[in-house]
Amino acid sequence: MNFKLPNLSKFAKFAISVEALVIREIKLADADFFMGLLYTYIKTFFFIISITLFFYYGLRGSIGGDLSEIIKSISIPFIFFFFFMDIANKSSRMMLVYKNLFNLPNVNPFNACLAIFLSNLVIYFFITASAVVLLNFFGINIPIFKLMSAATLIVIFNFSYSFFISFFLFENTIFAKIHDLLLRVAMFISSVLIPVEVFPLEIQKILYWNPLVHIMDYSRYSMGLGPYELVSPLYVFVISAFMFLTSIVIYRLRINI
Amino acid sequence: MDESNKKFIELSDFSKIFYSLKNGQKKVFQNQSIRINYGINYGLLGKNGAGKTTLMQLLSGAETLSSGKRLFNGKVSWPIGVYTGLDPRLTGSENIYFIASLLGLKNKKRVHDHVVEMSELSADIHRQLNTFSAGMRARLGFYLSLCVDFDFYLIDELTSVGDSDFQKRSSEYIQEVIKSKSLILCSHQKNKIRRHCEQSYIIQEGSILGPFDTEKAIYIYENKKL
Repeated sequence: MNFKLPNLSKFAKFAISVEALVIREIKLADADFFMGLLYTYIKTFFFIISITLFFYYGLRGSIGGDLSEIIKSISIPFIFFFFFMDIANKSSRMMLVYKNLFNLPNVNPFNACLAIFLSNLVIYFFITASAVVLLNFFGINIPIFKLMSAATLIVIFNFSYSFFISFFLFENTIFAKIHDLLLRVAMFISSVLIPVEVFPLEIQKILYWNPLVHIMDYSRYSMGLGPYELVSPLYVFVISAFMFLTSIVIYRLRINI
Repeated sequence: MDESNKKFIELSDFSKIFYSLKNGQKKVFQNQSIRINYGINYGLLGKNGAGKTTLMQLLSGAETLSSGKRLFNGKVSWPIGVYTGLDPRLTGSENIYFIASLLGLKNKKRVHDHVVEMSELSADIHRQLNTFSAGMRARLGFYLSLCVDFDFYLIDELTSVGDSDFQKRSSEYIQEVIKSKSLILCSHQKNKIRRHCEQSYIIQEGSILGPFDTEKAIYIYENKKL
């Protein structure tokens, strides 16, 4: 029996392949772990609760603020950072993991990268939405529209980073391992666990070279915390645009060799 | 002129060079050309590492050329091999739905049922592919790709794996499917190439020689009379 191939336009082929790859990516999210996709969901909340409890009870007295401020300060930046981490991890190995799939029709590095980004966007949209609902349920008010502007920033940054790191690292496993290591370090210097405002101004100025710090602090600022005077969304836009353009150039160069 | 006569795949004056930091550059092909005409079945003969699989990938468009042009008119399958295209982390069933979705096939359930029936994998189809044997993967990949209406089927060593029953059935199935199609078959089993292919190319040391009549190609290849 022969099943007829439909005559599709280039855009339709692109769209259906991205859709199929996104579904596949969501199915395979944390597939190596027990419970798979559910693990992705639970791990984020588990970390947020653990760290909040640690900050509230473990460091009581050393860090100011009440419980709702600590939760606000940790929850959303943490979700945003996990969103970034998951995309960065998958993208850094995309060219290796997808190597076999590139044989299939309509699958190429560009739509594979887009699929990784979109699948994580879907997953983390639900995680963020659940967190906002939960926080509101417990009386911690999150200004949704302000939060959306911070979310836009991380979405744009992650989109560019996904392409940049995929095409920059390409199939190099050594660079991918170094990148993994840097991601772990990034958690401690990106204002995720420890807001950079606790550091002296001179050190803050250095740490603010990292665009993630701007994103994390902007998300805190959008929830009505801190003055965060050094935060600049424009800086994140410029870095994102630079990364995306660079990734297109690398893609054009590498795909022809 | 019949529309089907216009269908072809052509790689003209092409080169393929792989680069790696570890091994430097490796020139697989340099300034070579190959043309596959619709309605003729072609065999690819060459030693291991000669570049047969790379050539299949170039013909399908899965790999890009370092230089030269790829021209084609017609629907070209992906290079069908034991490990190509299937995702080991998905189940057999999920792989069928995934590829059917990628190709934009309308009735995915019918495709699924047909492939499961033909490959006789109904008992294992919901298991992850990495638990399948090479023969089971071959059966799944083979029937999945040949059930789709391509003009050119690229089959890479696939019919050489699996048990004798699969080899016999796959040969018969190829005969049935490619009656009015084109097959590009890469196999170390010369009888397979003799049976299915009218013409053959020889791939040797980065050169593509031919096309020759299959018998002549096998004679040249075996006796190294180039």
